[in-house]
Amino acid sequence: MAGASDQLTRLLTLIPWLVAHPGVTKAEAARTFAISGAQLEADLELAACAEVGRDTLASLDIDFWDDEITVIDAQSVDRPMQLRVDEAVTLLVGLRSLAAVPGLADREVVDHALAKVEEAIGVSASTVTGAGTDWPVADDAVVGAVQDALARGRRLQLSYWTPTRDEVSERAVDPMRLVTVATAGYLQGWCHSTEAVRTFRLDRIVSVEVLEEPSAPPLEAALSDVAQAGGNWHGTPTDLLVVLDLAPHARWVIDYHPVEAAVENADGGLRVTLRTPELAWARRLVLRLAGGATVVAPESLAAEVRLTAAEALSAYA
Amino acid sequence: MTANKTERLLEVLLCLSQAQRPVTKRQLRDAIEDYSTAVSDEAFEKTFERDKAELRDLGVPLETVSGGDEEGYRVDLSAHALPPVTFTSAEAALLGLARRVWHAEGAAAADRALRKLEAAGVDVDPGALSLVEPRLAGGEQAFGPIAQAIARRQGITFDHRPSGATTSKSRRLQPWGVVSRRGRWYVVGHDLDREAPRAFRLDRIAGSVQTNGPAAAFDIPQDADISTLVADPSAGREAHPAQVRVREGTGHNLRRRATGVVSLGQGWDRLTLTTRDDEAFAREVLAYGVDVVVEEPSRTRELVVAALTTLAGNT
Repeated sequence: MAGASDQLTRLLTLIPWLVAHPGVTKAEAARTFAISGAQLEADLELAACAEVGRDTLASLDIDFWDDEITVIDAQSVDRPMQLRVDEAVTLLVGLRSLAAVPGLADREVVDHALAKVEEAIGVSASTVTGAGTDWPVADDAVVGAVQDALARGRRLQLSYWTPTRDEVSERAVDPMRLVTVATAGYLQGWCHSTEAVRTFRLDRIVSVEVLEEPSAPPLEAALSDVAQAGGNWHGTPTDLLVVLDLAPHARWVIDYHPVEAAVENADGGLRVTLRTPELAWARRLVLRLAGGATVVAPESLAAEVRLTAAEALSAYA
Repeated sequence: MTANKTERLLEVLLCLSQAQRPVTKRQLRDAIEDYSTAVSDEAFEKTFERDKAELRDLGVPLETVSGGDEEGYRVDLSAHALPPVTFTSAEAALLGLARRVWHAEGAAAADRALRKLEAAGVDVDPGALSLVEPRLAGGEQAFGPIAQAIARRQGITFDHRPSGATTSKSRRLQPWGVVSRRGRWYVVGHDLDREAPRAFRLDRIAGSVQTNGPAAAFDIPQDADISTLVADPSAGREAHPAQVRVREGTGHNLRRRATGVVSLGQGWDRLTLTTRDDEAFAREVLAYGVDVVVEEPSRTRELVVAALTTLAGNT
């Protein structure tokens, strides 16, 4: 939205917002609407100057000469307009997204908030967000503990499962942020065992305890961007490259793992190059694809897969 | 000029919403300074037409009322005001958190929504749970245009990358709804190329969503059950018992779900658990290599043996 429309849209909400917040300071109003102080003054000036008719049949009366703003007469602009569909959808999608993460939000509270937003739109919201939200079956105590530690600034003691090594390790972590993407939750924090900022997937935390010690991440600790980091968030970058031929039904691998290269094969499959910190990760992937992937390189991985499969098979003899 | 135009639009709005009766074009020209000083009838008409369109674009319910000698205009703001709404503090805190889902294109619309709720008296706490950062899996740019298109019953086109594909395809869709499954969002509707209902994951939409053709171009079928189009294939299946032998100190993700653990000696445990999906369970067991041996269900056992035979090169 450009200039005039933008400003009028803002004014139609700003004026009733000011009515609802009598005596609010200019600084707070500007901060809430994410505009400069000068822009706020210009908005108020314009609203106060607008008048209809030579004998002033209609005009707004706003006192903003001091630091505080009071709307004396808002005329017909005393209430905000209905939510537009694009505005309402941000809240509905946001609320449903919170609900998708086990343990993040109380389902009943989300349900109530959703119902109220839908009612406030006035148009059918069911076509906007649909009815197919799958609520998580169980709330997760891990999320609760992490939220509690963040809120109270406490250190966490984690038992953390690393799937590539199928190993559980004990770690003391000073929590810094809880990030959720789709249904997955991630704790970012200062890991005392590795002395670095680490990202922990919540569904890999086997058990968690909120300690009495305060959380004190070093000042220089910087959060990385979970969304940018791809799949191997707590791995160290190495030069280990793995080349696989994926059968057509195993092409989904490229949707879940960052690939360096993907080339179409004649059989409808793909030749993909993946970068991995640990060969064990690639071995697990190839095993789990149940023959849907053929190892092209390195030969050591191909040999390891054959050996593992042969040994595992002997248990079924 | 911008300031003048906003002022003029606000004046038109005030005039039409304050008046007890519909206001004629002549009365408007008389009441609004910019209109009365227009250089010609033609210039006034042109400006007024543009202003009407712009106000309607902003969602102002500007109605034309005929009857009587002359056509008149009216804006009933109270009929289109946000209805009174109260949120508990817990609900309001969730609204603040829901806002944080939006990091790019959706952020401005989400802010406008919250400001309107605040103007209606809702106390949204933006600082609540600020150490929590919810994110969408992607496709943030798609939500706004799709929602508008659904509301207007207007077709859309977009580039979508199907699962496992390396390139995108252009799609034409009459959108019916936006629906989530396992935290992933889909747009569901009538695919105009395949002439069938289809669902597309929003985080696989590349670039922008364009509207296509006129508004009110279709009806959403009454019997459209948009949630079944993105249904989880294993959702309706019964959980049935499973049993695996697991080497001590391994199989941690299986151990977490286990309902029973019995030590078998010689470094092995037997776990009892349930599964809804025999194929998925086989893949999970395979990933553990030599550390997990499946006993039940027999279907999973067959799948694992077949896969291991292939992987060992004994085909």
